[in-house]
Amino acid sequence: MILKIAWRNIWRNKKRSLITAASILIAVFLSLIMRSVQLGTYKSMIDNVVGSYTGYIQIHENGYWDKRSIDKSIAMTDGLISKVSNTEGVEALLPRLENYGLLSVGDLTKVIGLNGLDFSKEQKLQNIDAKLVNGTLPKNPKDIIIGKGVASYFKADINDTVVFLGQGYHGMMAADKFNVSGIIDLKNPTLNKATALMSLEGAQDLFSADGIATSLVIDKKNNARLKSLQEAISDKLDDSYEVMNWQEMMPELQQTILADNVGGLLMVAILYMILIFGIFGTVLMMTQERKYEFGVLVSIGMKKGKLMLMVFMETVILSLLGVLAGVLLAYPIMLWKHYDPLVLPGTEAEMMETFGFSAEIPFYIQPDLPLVHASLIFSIALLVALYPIVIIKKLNPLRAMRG
Amino acid sequence: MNVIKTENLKKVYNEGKGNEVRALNGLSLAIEKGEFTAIVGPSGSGKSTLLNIIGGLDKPHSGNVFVNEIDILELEENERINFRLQNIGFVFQAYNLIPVLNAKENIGFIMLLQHESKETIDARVEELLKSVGLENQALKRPNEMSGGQQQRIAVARALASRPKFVLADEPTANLDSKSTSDLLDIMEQLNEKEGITFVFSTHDQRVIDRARRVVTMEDGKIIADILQSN
Repeated sequence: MILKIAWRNIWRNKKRSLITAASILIAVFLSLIMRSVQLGTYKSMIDNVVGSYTGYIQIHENGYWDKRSIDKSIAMTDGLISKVSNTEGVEALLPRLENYGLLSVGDLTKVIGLNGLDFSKEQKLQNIDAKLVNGTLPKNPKDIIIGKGVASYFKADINDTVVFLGQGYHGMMAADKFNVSGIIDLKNPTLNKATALMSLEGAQDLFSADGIATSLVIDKKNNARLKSLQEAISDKLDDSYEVMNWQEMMPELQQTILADNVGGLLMVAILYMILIFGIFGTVLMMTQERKYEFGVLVSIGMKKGKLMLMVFMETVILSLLGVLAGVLLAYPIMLWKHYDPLVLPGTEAEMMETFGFSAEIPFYIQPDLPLVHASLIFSIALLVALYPIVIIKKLNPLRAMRG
Repeated sequence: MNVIKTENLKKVYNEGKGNEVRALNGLSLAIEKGEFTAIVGPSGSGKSTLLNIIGGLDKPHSGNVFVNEIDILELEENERINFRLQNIGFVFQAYNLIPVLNAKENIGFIMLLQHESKETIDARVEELLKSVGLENQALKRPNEMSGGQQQRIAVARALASRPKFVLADEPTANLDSKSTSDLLDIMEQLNEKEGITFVFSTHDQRVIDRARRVVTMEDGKIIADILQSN
């Protein structure tokens, strides 16, 4: 009966109830769409930048990331490979040998980073084929791919010869000439101007680092359970290794996301503040208008606890209606724009791509988003519902009936 | 046996201020089971204050109130609410039915608060609707009924829990002659047949004429207490 009365009370003032439910609906809808775009953008950035090269997690010899020296490399032993591969959540292991040196063509010389990769494994993570603007992937250890900025600097083309000169493993001389088999666009102007890629085998041979890698990249499906996987791998390895996640390796990306996220959360907070005042206004009016009625109900023998429950239920039902309607309205749009992402127009798209980000923004659709926001707004409504409860608690039925 | 007994009740509003009002000034009154009593007097004589104190809605500054020999002033707030629920039926001047419930639900509401079974409630509601002559209005909500009909439903609601007595504060103040007469017929009948005690405050001469006991108040005191034969 209490539920029945609460339900009917909601519809006593249809307009007011509908306006309140609509304000909750709009708040849920806007916050969901806004956060879905924002989180979708972050996910896309992480997938693009992290997923496409750095990987979510890397294993190095302890101290490598700070010094970036080939001397701090790890031996690719079967024991190490097997330990890491058998960790739940690890999809693939990608060994890389990265070093620096001088690249020359004719009279021109340039400092570059030369990365030895296992192209068959890297293809899945980086889709290197699609980044080639000319030529093919290295077919033998003497083939090299150069960034399009490097190619432009040297005015080099496919099948040109380039000479690399640098220092190998533990002071060994590293010098050889290579055939340009491809030119690649790494979607990042800085990388394009200073990167060359070759097979892992070729790099190991060049740097006299047989069976050695500077990093072991862990491929995983997505950013979920990153920390737990990192911990699981760390637990299996001794202190001579460092296991780093992308946030530790690329703190600037993490900070960019955090800074932008704060802005988004601030917007949502402002939206919620407006909502709090909206709901509170309704509840305040409802309480004041119905004080007389509360007085009558207590007079005829309704315990205050039951009366509180009834009024509380009214707010709960109204809020639930608004929250559910908001989620039901927003979620299909989120799903639609997840599978058919927003595509940034013209120059904005070019700018995003220049910095290595995709111009497509798939909306974020993980259920934690509607759950968190629905729960937050619902909690706000419950908090506001405390007001009539306090009023009823203090209610003097006689004074209430006198108005 | 006294259903209600008050001893030396005193109630002062705005005590110590220039506009101090002595609403009850040492009032003692006893009402026996089955009485049909009107409390009359001019505005400000203390009628409503007396009814509120007897109903456990207000407290005097001094004095005692016994209902069925229980000192209701000693009860805690929740006990008082429960006491009202089990022992007192209220009829208000403005009817005060629950607007979102129909006539049947309004009558049964008190019994629901008493945790009666659905069958018991249905049977009692049917019986009361018949008693107040509104069987055909059972599914109507208050705003679909006339003032007289609403007040009859209010009487039925007051009786639903089989209270020890019914307190009615100016029950006919908003009713026309026909509705007043109908309502009084019903209350009289319930009083005679079921022995329900009615105490009402009123200005209405039509009500005073039908009461069997008329207690007249002035300045917070009883100045006349007359038994009438109708």
